[in-house]
Amino acid sequence: MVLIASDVCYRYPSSGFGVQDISLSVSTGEGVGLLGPNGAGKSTLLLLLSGLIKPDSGVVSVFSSDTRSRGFKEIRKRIGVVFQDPDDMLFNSTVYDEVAYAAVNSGLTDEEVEEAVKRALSSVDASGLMDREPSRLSFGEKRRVALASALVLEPDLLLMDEPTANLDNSARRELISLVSRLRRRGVTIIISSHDVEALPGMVDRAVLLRDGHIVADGLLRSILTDEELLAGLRLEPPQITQLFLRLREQKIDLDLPLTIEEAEKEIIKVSKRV
Amino acid sequence: MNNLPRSLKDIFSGLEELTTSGRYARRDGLLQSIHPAARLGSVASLIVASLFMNHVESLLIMALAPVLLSIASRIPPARYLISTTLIPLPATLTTIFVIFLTPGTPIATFSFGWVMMQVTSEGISRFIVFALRVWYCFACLSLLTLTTGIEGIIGMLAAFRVPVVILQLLSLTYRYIHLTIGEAARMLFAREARMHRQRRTMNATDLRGLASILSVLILRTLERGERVYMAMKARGYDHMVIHTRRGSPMRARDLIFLACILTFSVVALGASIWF
Repeated sequence: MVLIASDVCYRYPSSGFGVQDISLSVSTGEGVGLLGPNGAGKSTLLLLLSGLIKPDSGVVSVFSSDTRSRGFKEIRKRIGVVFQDPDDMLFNSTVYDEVAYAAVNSGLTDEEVEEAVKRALSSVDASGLMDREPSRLSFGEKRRVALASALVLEPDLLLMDEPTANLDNSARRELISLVSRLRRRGVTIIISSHDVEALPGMVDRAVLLRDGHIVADGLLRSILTDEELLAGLRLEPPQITQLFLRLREQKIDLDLPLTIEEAEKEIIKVSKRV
Repeated sequence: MNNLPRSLKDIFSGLEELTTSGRYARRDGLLQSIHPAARLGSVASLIVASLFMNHVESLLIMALAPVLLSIASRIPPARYLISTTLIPLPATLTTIFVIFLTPGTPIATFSFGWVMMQVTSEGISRFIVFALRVWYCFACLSLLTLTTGIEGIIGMLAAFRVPVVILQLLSLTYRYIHLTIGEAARMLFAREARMHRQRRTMNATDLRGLASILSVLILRTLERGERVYMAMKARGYDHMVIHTRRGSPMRARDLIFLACILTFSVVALGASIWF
């Protein structure tokens, strides 16, 4: 197991909200989506899983190390975190320094740092931004640099908070394809999001949260096709799934797709049958 | 008068312009063609020389240097002069009481009930010297930041062996200035989007709006600070570490420029002391 959380509770001192009785385990190479409405506790859970905040009670163990233990700093090298707002992650004077930050902190030599930075920037198609000033980048570019700075140490676990928020369609597609490439490489990915359209390309398991509690945990397909369950969380299935649900109501026998590609295959299959 | 700020938004955009390092760095000007370390050395020498000058005349002569350098560096002179005057103005005004407090030849007397206050010529002269010096230092530093990208500034400070802690602080501060100004700009846009009258000047309502925006801004920047700290911790933040790549070496023309400015500073300082 990459990650085990048992009976985790956390409350923000100021607001009193947080997460309660969270138990979750994630195995190597898995892609997990944390789904839920605003204020459900997705971002808080992500921070707990990354060890950046410690639970009030319960245990979060990542790569068999308790996030409260002293040795967890070493484990953090294996975890990449991408925050919701890229501006939170960019505080250096150049993109190079920004991406190099984690690599330098981990004690790599100058040559190794340079190589890691180039590799990370090229993986997000941002090699041309190396000498730019982060504050002057567009939102999409900032997002790519933030992602590169989380990928620079080639983490085994990648935690992403609302990665598709505010991205245009092409940037969204690029992100989805990058995440699926990382998954093929065996990287475990946990994504907090309420973007039901983007999740199917990135994860295959969904954990539903409401008011700081887990209300469902299962295959993404079974969760995203359960209209009733999603409606209780003010969420909806992907639009293409909704269309097929309507067609099913018309007594047309169809498998429910989550993506356009799946829908295309299903339509071809049905048309051949007819 | 066209260059004077007309609204809160203008003030914030002016602030952003002034604090944006390297705004004119890509222009084909004199300072831009000089090595950043030579630029820093020149500006430092001009500032240090002014600190030892106590005469209005000598400071006025020195003031020509940043103005001429700004023109040679293709920075719009009117905008440069207004920005560099308006930004340090509040700090300058806080010292206005020296015109009453400095002993010397009285030139005017004001009485407020039983309190008598005398304006002295020495007081006025001291205030003008102080105001000129503040403007001058600010104008010189602005020249440096306007013509040099933040990476160049940090690089040249690193070349002068400035401690890593200070470089990291500078880098973070610079980033925060932009985030804060951006945050303020967004709040101002949101405010303006709900204003149905267009005014071209600031009034009491605007000032009240500014106060409320500033207080919310402080809270937002605190929250932002917390999130940036989290992001740093997530990437192994433990000690102050900064990675700066080495720049190119100085050329003969950089050294000649530095020597010229140093000579000007020394001569001006010598003349000020002598006469």
